[in-house]
Amino acid sequence: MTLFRRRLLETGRELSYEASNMALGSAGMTMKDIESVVIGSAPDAFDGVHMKGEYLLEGSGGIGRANSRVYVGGGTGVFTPVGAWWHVASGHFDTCLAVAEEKMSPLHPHPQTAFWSIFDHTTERPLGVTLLWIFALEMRRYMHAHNVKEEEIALVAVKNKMNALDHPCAQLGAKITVEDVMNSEKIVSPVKRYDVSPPSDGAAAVILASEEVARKYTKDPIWIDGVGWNVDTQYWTNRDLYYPAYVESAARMAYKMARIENPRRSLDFAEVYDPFDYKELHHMEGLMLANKGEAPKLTKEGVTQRGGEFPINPSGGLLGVGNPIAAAGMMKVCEVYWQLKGEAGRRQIKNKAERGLAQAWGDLLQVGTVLTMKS
Amino acid sequence: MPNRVGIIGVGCEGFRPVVSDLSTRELMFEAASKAYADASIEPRKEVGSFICCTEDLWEGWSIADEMVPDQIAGAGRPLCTIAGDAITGLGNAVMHIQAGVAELVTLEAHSKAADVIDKEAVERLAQEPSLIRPVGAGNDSLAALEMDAFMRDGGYDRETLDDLLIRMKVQAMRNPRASFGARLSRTDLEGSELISSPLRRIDKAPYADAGVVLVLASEGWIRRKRREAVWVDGVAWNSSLPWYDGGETTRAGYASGAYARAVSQAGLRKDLGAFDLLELDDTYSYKLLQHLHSLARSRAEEKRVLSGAGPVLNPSGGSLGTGNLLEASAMHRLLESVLQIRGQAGAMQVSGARRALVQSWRGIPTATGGVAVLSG
Repeated sequence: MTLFRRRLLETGRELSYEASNMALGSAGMTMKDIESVVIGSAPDAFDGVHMKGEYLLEGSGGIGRANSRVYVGGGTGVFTPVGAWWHVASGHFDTCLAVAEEKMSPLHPHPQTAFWSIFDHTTERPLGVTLLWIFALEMRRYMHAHNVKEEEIALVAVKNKMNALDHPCAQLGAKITVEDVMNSEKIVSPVKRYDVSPPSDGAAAVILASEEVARKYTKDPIWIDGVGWNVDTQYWTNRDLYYPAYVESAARMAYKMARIENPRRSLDFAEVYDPFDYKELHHMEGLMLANKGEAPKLTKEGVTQRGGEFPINPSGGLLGVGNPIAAAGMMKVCEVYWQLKGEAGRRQIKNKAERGLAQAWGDLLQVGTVLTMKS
Repeated sequence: MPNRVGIIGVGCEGFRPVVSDLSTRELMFEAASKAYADASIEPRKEVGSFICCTEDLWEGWSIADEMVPDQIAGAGRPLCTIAGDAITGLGNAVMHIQAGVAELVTLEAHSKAADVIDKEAVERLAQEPSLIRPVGAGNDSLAALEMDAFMRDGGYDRETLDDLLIRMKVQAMRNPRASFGARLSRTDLEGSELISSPLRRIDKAPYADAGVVLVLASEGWIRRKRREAVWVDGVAWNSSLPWYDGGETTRAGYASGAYARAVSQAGLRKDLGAFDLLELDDTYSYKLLQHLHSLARSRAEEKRVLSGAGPVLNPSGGSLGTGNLLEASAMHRLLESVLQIRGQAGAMQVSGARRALVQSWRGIPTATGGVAVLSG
C-alpha cells in the first residue's frame, strides 16, 4: 500500500501503479503472471473523471486483460478482493490483481462536497444534507438505544490513533486522550473532529491466486475462506439506525461459507470499518463479535486493544491510518494478511493470529462487505 | 465452461428517445418485474445475487448502487455495481454462479440518457484529465479522428460504410424497440450534418432510454426445475491500448481479444460462420465495420458477412436503429439475441437462429469491450 495522506502529488493512475507494483513484488510475480484485474474506487466525483475504472486501467495493469471495476461505495475496499475471489474461485482465471485506489484531494473546496450527490435528488438533496449529518443521526441513535456516553465512544479514537503510530503509512497516528476527543471541534452534534477519520489519497493492492498457482509462489499462502456482502434499502430513513442489519447479513454469508458458527471463538482479530469511532462499536455488534450494546464495554475493558483478548483494528483503522475510501478497506485486508503472516512488525498482535476478518461499509448507511482469511 | 449458465428470463421497458413518464427507478422496476414474470420466479426468495451495470455520472448520482436495490427486489441482499458494460456484468454474473455465490443472479442495466442535460460534458469527463482533456476535443471529435484513420489505413470507402448504415436503419424498421429506423438513400446520408469530418450526425447512434433485466441460472437449477434456457457458452471482456495512446486504429484489440477467449470457452473455432447472427456494437457506424473487421479471420470472411451470405449482422438494427443506451447497449444486444434464439423475434426473426455472438464496446474514450456466445 502507498502512504495515506491528505494530498498526495501522484495521480490516481500513479497511486494504482505503486500499490500494484508493491503487491507484485511481495508475491514474486510480474504482470505476465496476472490474468485479470479487479479495480475498486469510490465516487468518480472525487477525481472528476467519468468512468474512472477506465482511467485507472493503465496504472493497474488492466491493458490487455479482463478487468472489472466493482463498486459499493465505502464497502468497495473489502469488496474489491471479494470480486477478485470470484474471478479465481469460478475457475475463469488463475490469478487476479485487486487494486483499490482513491484520490479525494482533487475535489474543491472539500472532498465532502462529493457526498452531496449521494442523496435522493427529490426528497433529500433539497435539504442540503451532508454525510456528517446522517452519521450524527446514526451515532445519536446508537448512543440512545444502548445508553452509551460520548466518552465511551471516544476510547475507540484514542485506541486506533495510538495503534496507527506503528503503521508506516499512517496519516494521523497520535497519542491522544478522551479529553482531547471531547474538546475537539464540534462538527455536527454529537460528532466531533476526533470522532471522524480524515479524507485521504492512497492505494493498496493484493494478488489472489488459485491454490495450484499459489503453492508455486509460497509455502504458506493466506486463504480466503469466507466472503459476504449485502446492500440494504436506499430508504435509510425507514430503518432503525441503532443496528447495522446489513452488516450482520453480510457477515452471516461469509461465516456460512467459512463454516464459522461462533465468530468470537473462531476468529482471532478483526479489522472493522471505523470511519467514525462509534462505527467500530456498531460494526463489532453487526459482525456478532459483541452482543448488541456490548461493544463499548469490551472496549472499556481493553478486550479490543492490540494486546487484548480480541484485537480490533490493530492497524490503527481509518481513524489513525486514514480514509481514502476504497483504499481504506483494502488497507484492512492488507493488515489481516500481514497479521496472519506474522509480518505486521510492531503492530503484530500478541495472541495467535490464525484467522482474521476485514469488513467495510458504505453507501447511505446501507452496505456491508466482509472477508475472512486464515493461515 | 464449468457449470453452464443459462438465461431464463428477460424483461425490458422503454426503448424510446425520451421516457418521460417513468423515473429511473420506475424504469428498472418495470423491466425487472417483466423479467421475473418471464422467468417464473419469486426474486425475494430465489435470486441470490444482483448486479447492476451503472456509471455514477450518467445517473447523476454518486455511488449509484445505493439507489438500485429496492426496485429490483435486491434490498437486503447481495447486490453490487459493476461499473462496466453489460457483457462485463454478464461475465461477473456467470462467475457468481460458477463460484457458488448463487444459483440465480439478476443482471440489470438501463439508460436514462434523456435526463442528462449536457451529455457531451459528461463524456468529456471520461477523457484522461492531464494530457487528453486539455486538448479540448469532444468525444465525437476523437471518434472522427479514429474513423478517418480506420477508413484510410483499413482501405474502406465511404460507399461501403453508407451501405451498411442504410441496411441497419432498414432492419431497425422491423424492430418494435427501435425508434430510429428509416429508409434512407445515399443522398439522404450526404445531407446529414457534419459533426467533425468525416463523422456525420447520421453516423452516430442517437441516445435513447430503456431498462433491461436478465435472470441467469445455473445448469443444475435449470435442469432441476425443467426450464428452458438460452445458454451462455462463452463470455469474455478485454481492454486494449486506445488508439490515441498508441494503439491500433484498424483493429479493435479489445474485441478480438475477447472474441478469442469467448469462442475458446464455447469450444468453437474462430469462424463467424458458426453463428446465425451477430449483434456487434455500432455506437458509430465505422465502429460496426471496425468490430466486424476485428472478429473476422480474413477480409473474405468480412465481405461474406457484409454481403449477407454469412450470419445476419445486427438484425435488431443495432444502436444506430434502436439508440445508444449507454451501458445498457450491450444488454439490448443480449436481449435481442435471446429473443432470436427463443424464436420470439417477430418480424426480425433470423430463420433457425440457434447461436448468437454479442459484442460490446464502452464508447469513446475507452478501448474496452466484451464478447458473449449464446446458444439454444
